[in-house]
Amino acid sequence: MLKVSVARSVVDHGVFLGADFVELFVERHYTHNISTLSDKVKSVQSGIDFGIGVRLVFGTKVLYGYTNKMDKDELTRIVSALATKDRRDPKIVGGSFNFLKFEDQHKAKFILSQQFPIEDKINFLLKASGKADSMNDKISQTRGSCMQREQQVEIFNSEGLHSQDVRNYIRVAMTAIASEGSEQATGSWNQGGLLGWEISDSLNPEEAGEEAARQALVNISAKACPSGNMPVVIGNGFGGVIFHEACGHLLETTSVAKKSSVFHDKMGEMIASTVVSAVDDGTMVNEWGSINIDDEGMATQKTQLIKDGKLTSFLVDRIGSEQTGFDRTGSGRRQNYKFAPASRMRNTFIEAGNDNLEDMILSMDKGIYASSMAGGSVNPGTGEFNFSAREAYYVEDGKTQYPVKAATLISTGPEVLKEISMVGKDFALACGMCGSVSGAVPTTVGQPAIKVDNILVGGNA
Amino acid sequence: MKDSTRNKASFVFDKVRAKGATADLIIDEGQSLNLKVFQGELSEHLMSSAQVFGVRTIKNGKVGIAHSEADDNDALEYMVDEALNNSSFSEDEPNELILANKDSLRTDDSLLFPKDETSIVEKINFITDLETELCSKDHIKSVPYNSVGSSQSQRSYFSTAGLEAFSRSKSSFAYAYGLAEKEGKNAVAFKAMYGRCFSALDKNKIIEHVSTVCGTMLKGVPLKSGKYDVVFDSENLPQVVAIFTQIFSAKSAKDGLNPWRNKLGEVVTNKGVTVVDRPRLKEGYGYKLFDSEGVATKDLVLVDKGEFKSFIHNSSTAQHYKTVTTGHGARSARSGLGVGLHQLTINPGDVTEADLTSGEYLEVTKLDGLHSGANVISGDFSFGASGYLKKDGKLIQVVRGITVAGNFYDMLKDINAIGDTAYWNASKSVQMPLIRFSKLAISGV
Repeated sequence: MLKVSVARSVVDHGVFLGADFVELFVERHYTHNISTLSDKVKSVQSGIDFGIGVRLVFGTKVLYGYTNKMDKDELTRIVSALATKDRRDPKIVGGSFNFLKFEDQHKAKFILSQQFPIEDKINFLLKASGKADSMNDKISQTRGSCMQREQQVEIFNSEGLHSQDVRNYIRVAMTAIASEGSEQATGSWNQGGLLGWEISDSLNPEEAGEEAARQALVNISAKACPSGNMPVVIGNGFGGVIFHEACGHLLETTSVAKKSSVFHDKMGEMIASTVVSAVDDGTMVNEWGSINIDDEGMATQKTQLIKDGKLTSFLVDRIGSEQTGFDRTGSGRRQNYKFAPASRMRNTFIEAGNDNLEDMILSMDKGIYASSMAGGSVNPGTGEFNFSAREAYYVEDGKTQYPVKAATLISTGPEVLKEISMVGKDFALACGMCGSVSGAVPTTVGQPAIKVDNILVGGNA
Repeated sequence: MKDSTRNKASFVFDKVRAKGATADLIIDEGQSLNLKVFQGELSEHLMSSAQVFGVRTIKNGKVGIAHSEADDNDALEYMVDEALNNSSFSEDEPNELILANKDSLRTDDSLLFPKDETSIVEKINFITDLETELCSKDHIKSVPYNSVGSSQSQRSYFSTAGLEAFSRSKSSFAYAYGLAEKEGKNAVAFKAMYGRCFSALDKNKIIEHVSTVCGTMLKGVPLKSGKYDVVFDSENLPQVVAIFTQIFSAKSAKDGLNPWRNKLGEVVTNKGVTVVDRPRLKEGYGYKLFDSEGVATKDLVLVDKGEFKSFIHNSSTAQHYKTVTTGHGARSARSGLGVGLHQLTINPGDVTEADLTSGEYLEVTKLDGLHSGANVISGDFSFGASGYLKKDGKLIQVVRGITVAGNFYDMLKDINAIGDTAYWNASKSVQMPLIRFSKLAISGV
């Protein structure tokens, strides 16, 4: 995308001004979004984002700028402006880039820059909507969406790195709204991955519509959730958001380096129950949170974060590595060229255990089974997190009794990791978006069903 | 407005007209500076310059949207082709038209684009001093997240009907997030300030707030579970209301997604509640003279003494409901035409704050999980929270590690008192009095 001679000239200019490290992140990003409302196509939108991010590092100081222009003069001007206050004696410049070619582990077929079937996507969404609508008279409305992106990135740096990657993202979602009198409730379904529209080969629109409608119908009949401290079984798949919020963010060097994570000094220590082993793996083929290389040009990897309860690794980007001394893990990520990279999660999950979901529910006198989770957030400094259930049931005497609504779970990372007493066999992954200092990036969460012995449930009963 | 900007618009519209369509075009341009410090040293220095073009084409009753951050002729022509191609898949929108508006509009630079000669060095000193002084306060361990920044943005609107509107503005901000530690307990606090000029920022207010709240929150413990009267502070009440503002949207009503879509003329809140959108309150940072269709803005009463009086409309929703636009057309370069509030206000009531804070109540000063803990359709919410249990305005217990839950639409009806003073939130986008809500569910111990 950017002429190598221009990149060389700009990088050399930064080094000449005394920078310890200079990096260019070039991005061209195609987007295409379809949205439907019941049986109608609501909108079809597309666009091209293009820009170049320039990062200069002087010691531990990061200087970052970006522009939509790709000419040498504009990029050189940004480098000069950024370095105004930090300029040092010139360093020797020169040399050439070493182009690192990575094998694409995430092959995609129907992608945006080539032929892609808009009609097929619309038909999928309308079929899913039709199925949801046919499930019950209470289904009053559906909303569908299909988002596809093609992010082309090219990275140059002053260590001679020149690399490229193309990330093809696709995500399909369906929401159903159930209405009864003045009450309304929603249910949803979504799937995504690092591939093209060929994802539809593994998806069934009728199952998508049926699942969204089923959840909406469960929720329209839900009662107010009891509140207080109690055991909670969290279902597989997106239930993994608990680990993402309670622990994952606290293992990013973004907060570890500043000692603003409660786990910053716990490497090698037991931070979780012995039944917990957790991984952040950027290499999983065609998974939503995967990458070939991170946004600093390093091949990504599988990182064992926790093994049998013991903290074994942080998530480390370049600056985090310099600040903490830990090796980089290929975790430097950013939303786009407007953000400097930071250590971020990829596909993050609790590994499968040996327990059965049924046994977990049977073990509760009074508690909650949160079969499907929505999002949450965490405060790294205190480890306090919250997240909400999308579908949940009150459990008494080992049996699910009735669905409950507006259930929020709150605790702290260190506490909840030690309260996990059972880990199931039914491992599953689910995709989501994670927002943090370097913007919103695609991340996968995952886990088998787990039982947390004691957590505060916030309800309205 | 620069001639080069007009020339780009002319180029786009030539392509649009050649394809037999009408269109409007937004060109957003902006520059920004953002500085962060860590342990007394500048750790991040971000400067940016960016632009985006966004076109909305209408042809044969079908609407297409496309955008481009590249501005060469090939990219702009591709953008027009994409918009027209996208529109061929959309349903007919007979009510959506490019308004017959030939006005030339411009916002007031003396108010929105003030002269501000603060140097980068002064800004670096501001944030460095802020961090250093905050770290010197009792129990403050670090200020891991902080920033100061300034930006200027400009938006040019054009339409094939002849509209040419230009607005530009400046803004500055500073924030700090302090981390306190004492006897194995941690607490955090956050404070942000905004201004049109850098001089409006006061580091001492940020330091005072963050250090005081951090120190107090170290003593926080969960509250006994039960039903409590709740007063959200002037920062958190607007955040809760913001989640549910879709209730005012005619577009959501038209799409069947607005829970209040059939409630015009009905009593929807306590009779003490009057809600008005006031786009021309000059001290607010949401001040607007015209909307995204170039329609002049004006005050609009949304709820009058509890009765739902009006949706917010753009020209398309107004046509659908056989009324007139309220000047709430909203569109970004990357999106289609929607509706948006400008400066939402709730009128003060007649209860003194001494009376409003009589008896026992929970003052909520921080909410967590706002993006995930609420269902806009049903109104049900459950958020993590912290704050203060008070009696007659006096502190009884510092509270953290609780949830507050309820139903927003029920909560609006079950109001105990509305304070007699209105407060802006920190970003001066919303102005509301303190409101005491009756008996919300608190989960703690």
